[in-house]
Amino acid sequence: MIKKIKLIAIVIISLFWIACDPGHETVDIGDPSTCEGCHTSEATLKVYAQASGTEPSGGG
Amino acid sequence: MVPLEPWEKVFIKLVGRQKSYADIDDVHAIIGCVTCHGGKEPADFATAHDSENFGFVRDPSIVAETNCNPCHNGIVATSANSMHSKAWGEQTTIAQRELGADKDHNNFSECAIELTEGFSRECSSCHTTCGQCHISRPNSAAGGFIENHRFKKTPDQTNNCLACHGSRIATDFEGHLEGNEPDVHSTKYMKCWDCHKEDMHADASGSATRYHLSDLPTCEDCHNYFEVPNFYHQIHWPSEGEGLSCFVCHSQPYNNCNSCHTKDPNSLNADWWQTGYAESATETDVHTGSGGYKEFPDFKIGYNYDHKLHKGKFIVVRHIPIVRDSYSPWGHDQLANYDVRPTWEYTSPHNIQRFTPQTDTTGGGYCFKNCHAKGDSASINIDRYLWQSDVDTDYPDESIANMPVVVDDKLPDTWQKP
Repeated sequence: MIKKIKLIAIVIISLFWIACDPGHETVDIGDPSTCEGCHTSEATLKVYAQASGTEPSGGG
Repeated sequence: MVPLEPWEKVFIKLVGRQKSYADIDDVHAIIGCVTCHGGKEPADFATAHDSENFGFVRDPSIVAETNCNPCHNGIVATSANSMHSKAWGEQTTIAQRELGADKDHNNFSECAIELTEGFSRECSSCHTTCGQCHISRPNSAAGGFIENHRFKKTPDQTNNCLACHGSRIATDFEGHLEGNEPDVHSTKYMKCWDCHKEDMHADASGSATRYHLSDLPTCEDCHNYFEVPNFYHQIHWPSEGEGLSCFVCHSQPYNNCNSCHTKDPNSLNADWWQTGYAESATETDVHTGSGGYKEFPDFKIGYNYDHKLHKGKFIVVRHIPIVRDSYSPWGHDQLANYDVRPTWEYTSPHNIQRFTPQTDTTGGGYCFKNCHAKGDSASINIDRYLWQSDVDTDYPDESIANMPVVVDDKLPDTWQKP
């Protein structure tokens, strides 16, 4: 019985967390002045890839 | 493997409620981009990626001692000398063919500087960094994030393991060769690491090649033939070292390679080996291997001259892409001791099937009809073995090198010979 209660509690807490977690705030997506702003924006990356004529290597 | 689009290689895709990279990897996000990658933030494009002035580096794990420590210091310390990082086996083969049969990777530094520098420049460029297994596709597959710069504890089989081990392992395992079936372990949805439990980060400086690793998987790890009596196994494996390698019966034809794959990085056509490899990977003519990197399917049984290293009297051998002047593009015209090591080497094809052309008994009878070079099918079965005459005809410059591995005087006298 205790196990069931624990399980139900975990499920409820998880649902609550999923529903309420606002995520981490970040810079505006597409902001080319920050690493993350650019690298999380497909449109921005495409523009820079075309404009720079260079091919990002894709890290390690 | 089709390369990713340029933008795609560095794209971190946020989905659902993700609002930043921290929602993908909250641990590494704390560190911040520039801490590992250098560069400058905020900044314009050029400044942000300025290596000269701001130390930008695309793969921080090239300097794992700095950028992956102190969190991963144990792995970083041993991985620096792992088989994947150092390619000890390649160093051994070069050292032997240059310095002599009794040499190994410990003697590699004694080789000519053209060889050691060329190795550092080309071979070491793939063998490898933390990031090329745990974040991105490897350099040999043109890089690119696999999953939004997520650090994956277990590498991705397709995008990491098989991206490098493609022309042989992937081709075999997934059954790409015409007429082949995928490896039975693949059809059972097994992954590389289901068998390969060896510690990939371990210091392997004591192992001359990957086959010297003490924790390599073996068939017997799962298949104990003593538990299930099998006439064929009893006949062909009378005692340790006397019988056939498992692969002799249970592997299908596999890719072999011709010619070398070094290129002159200083020439105008400085595309290194990857381009040549990719352009000719589907060519299959065994006799036109010069000038490029050619593959061809074949199946050859050879003699196991190194019983300490490999089990069985007879093994499956694969032609590897080494010629006497393989390293001439690096400025080293001839390997001084090229003849001391066979160019048909022991292999462990990853295309295992219970029933193969060797074991198929469809229509009745015994499988020896598919293998033994006598009786009605002798002329066909002869082709399953590597004979001195095969080498003399197709690879005359490799005749001496392969004398230890050909089967001419190793098979029963009653069997036909070419």
